Amino acid sequence: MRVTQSAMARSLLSRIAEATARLTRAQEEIASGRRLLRASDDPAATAAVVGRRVGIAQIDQFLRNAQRMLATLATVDSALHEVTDLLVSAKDVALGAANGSATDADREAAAIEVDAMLERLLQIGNTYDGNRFLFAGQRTREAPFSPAGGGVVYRGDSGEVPVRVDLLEEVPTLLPGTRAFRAAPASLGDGADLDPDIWEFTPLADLNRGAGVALSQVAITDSDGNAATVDLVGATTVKDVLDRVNAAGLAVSAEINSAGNGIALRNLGSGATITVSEVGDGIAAAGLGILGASSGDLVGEDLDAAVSASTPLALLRSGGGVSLGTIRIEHEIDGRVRSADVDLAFARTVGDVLVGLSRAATLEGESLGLVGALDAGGAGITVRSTVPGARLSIGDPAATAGAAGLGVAGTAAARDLFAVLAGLRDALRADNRAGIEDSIALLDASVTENLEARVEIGARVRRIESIRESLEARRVAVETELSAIEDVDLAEAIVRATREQAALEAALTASSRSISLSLMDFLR
Amino acid sequence: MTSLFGAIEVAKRGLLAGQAGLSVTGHNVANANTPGYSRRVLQLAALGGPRLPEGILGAGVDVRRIEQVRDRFLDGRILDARAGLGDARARAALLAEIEATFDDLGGEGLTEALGAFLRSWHDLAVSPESLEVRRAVRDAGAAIASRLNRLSDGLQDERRVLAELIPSEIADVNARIARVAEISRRIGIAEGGGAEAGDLRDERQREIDVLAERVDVNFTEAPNGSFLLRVGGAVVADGEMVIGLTLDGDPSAAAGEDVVALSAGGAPVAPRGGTLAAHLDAVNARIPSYLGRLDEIAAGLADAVNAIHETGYGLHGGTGIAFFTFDAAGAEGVGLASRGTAGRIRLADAVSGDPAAIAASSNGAPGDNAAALAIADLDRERTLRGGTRTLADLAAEIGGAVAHDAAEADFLVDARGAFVTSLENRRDAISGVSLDEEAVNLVRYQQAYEAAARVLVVANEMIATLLEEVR
Repeated sequence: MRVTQSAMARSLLSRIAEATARLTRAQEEIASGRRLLRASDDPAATAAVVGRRVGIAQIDQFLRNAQRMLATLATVDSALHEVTDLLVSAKDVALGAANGSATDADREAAAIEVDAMLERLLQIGNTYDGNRFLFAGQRTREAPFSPAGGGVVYRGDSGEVPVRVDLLEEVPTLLPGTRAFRAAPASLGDGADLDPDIWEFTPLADLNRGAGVALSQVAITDSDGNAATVDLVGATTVKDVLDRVNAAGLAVSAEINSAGNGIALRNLGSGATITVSEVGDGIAAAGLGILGASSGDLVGEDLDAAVSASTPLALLRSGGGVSLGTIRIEHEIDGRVRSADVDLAFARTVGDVLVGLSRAATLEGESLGLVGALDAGGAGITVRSTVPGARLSIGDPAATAGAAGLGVAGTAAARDLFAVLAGLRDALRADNRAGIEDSIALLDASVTENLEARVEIGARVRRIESIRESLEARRVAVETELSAIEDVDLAEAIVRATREQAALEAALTASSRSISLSLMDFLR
Repeated sequence: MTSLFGAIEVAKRGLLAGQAGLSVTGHNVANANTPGYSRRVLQLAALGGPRLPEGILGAGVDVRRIEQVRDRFLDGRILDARAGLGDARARAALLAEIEATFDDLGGEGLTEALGAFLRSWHDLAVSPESLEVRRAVRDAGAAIASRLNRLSDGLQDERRVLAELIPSEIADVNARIARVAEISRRIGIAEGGGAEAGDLRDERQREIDVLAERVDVNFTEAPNGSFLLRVGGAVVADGEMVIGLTLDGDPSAAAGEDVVALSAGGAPVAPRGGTLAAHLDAVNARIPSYLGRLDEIAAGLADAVNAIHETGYGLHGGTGIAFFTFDAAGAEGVGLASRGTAGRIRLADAVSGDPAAIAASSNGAPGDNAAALAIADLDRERTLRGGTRTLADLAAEIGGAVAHDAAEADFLVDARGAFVTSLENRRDAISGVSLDEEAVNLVRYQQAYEAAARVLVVANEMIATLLEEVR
């Protein structure tokens, strides 16, 4: 092949240009520290870089959200902490005033002190962080609590403000005033005694207001003078007790008394007196209401059975039973009423009723937000609102009396701390001992509520902290990936630059030799 | 019969051949670096003399012709390769500029601007009452809108500049076509005597080579000297008749997606190579397709944000307010194309005038942030292309498309450049001047000249000897 001078020059030049370009590229990479200088250097890697940068920016956003939330939650917690202190000192004041030796002047002084606490509580309720009122739910632009007629009214709502701290993690920031200053939610049915009768399957544990019976041996002497010791240990229901007595071979028949509320030993013997006595230190006979001697049948005392989930509705109200149809429930939350006619006709036991109430929903399928529960005293049932600050009202449609039968008819509003303190103050001024005692009980319940609220805030803080840690770990991982894609391997790039430089020098040297080579130089 | 004077005549012819050889070599050496020069070679032939009984005596050497060494087939291949290279170069230059405006690696990309805008709604969700945060959201909204405006305007500008360039490119192409025809006419005159007009042919080839970088060109010459010049398959010059390329319509007045088309003598022409093809493709397809993607993002962003924003409530309870709006189409006479949605998107007046109107709440309570959260969630909601793409997907796709196209064009520049170089080296191997070869020729012609001169001297001496004897 003929190689001409211009072809040689052209290829030498292009080789040198290529070597220079590679050297420049290596040097640029070293100088910038980046492997990718333009998107077109590696479109796929560029897409990966952009994706990860967006990921990091998003993590930073979540970290910023978490940071701000922690600051807000700290403010909320310190406010709630102050509320705790206020409640504790209010209780001290109330206890002092409840003391019999307290004078009118002492109580007036105490009332003034409680009034000052009420004032302070109002200020805490209206905590403002420069942008918003922290205890107003979502109506954060106006002070949520304002004094009205000796009490305090709430103008906020029960909305929460959730903040995203990770892709799918939402944590509410604020505690609505109804929750933060809650003493007790609206509830109906407290204190109503449904007075159930017993039947064969009443558990012994439900007897005596749920205190149960301490089982032991019982000594029974029938009217013929035959004596027997009946061992009741291990019995669980009323029927067990009756069966064991009947199996003792005495001239008595154990059965449920005619009033339906206790046990009776019917006299089958020829004599007149049946005697029941304890064996040793046992108190089983007394617990079953049959201790003593009788003339004729021995009719036991009212055993005062507690209401339990398994109690049949027919036994309630001293065996009169409660007949249920539909009851009407209205639940007012933030001024909006959810109402439903709840059909309880299916219910056979108290448990059925509780389930029916807890599942009650509006026609649109929205839950009423209620909880049906057994009364703490065991005398009846309670319907409680699960929404702080809500009003609850239960009634019977015309010509029915189901709600009244269950003892839950009526209207109730939630009580907040302001009402408790105001109640205490008024009770102090009026020297209302019962009122003061009530207030002390309410203050105890309030402290519990308040601590629960603080526990909730603490749980949110811990959740955010743990999310923050995992976000930071993820950020490091993504940055490592990003660096692996985007950053230059410096050692490799420097070696490459050195190699390219050597190649360029070699190309230049070879060019300078070969380009000057011509036959012309050798012809003389 | 021979004569001594015949020998002198033979020697004279040898001397003339040596001189001719020297001039051809000299011409070659002088043009060693002239682009497009193809080397000349001297065609010599032995000249027959009178027929004698003993045989035919030669009458010396005859300088037949001076020929160009040239491979027509290779010339055609080079034209194609140059057209491909011109196309790739023009495309690479254009895409490098577009790529720089998208700048995904610099941290100023559309994806990141979009992400920053949507994330600002998270800040608003944290403190929906804060006017300061609201101003930040408004500014982020204005930033993404102006980012889309600038990208769209940048592409429109690029398109306009190219569209304005095309007429002058066509004028240049037509001028070169006319020059090719003119040179061909002169070749016809010069070669009327039968001699090859090498320098004119070189000039014409040079002209066609340059033309090939502008537009794909095909040149065929018949043995009788008539020729056809084709662009994209259509004849643009036939012999001395120059047809040239015509631009249909005025590209700087074309609006929207109007296509800029070419024709030659009434028949449509679609160039397949050269810078002109790259520019036409950019104006007609490539830039409009990028613009279309930008418009899709802008419309998708405005629709998705507004759909939520209009159901939300501002700090003072206002509702039904749009966040983004669009300038009226064609309001500004941009010339080449009326702007698409990406060029016209901007913040709604209600929002830009009063950040309190930004709707973070979905129920009217100032502390509610459900609307802000919903808008922040748009970064992972598949709201576009029938629920298959997020906004960020599309933003990443357009940047990726530009990067891919630029990478492809860069690769083609390298590959086609190497192809052109290798073809030119082959042409050089055939037509180029090798100085070593010419040096050898120089020595050959010099020695032949010296030998011929020697023959002349000897013949002269022989005549002198004869005259001496006669005297």
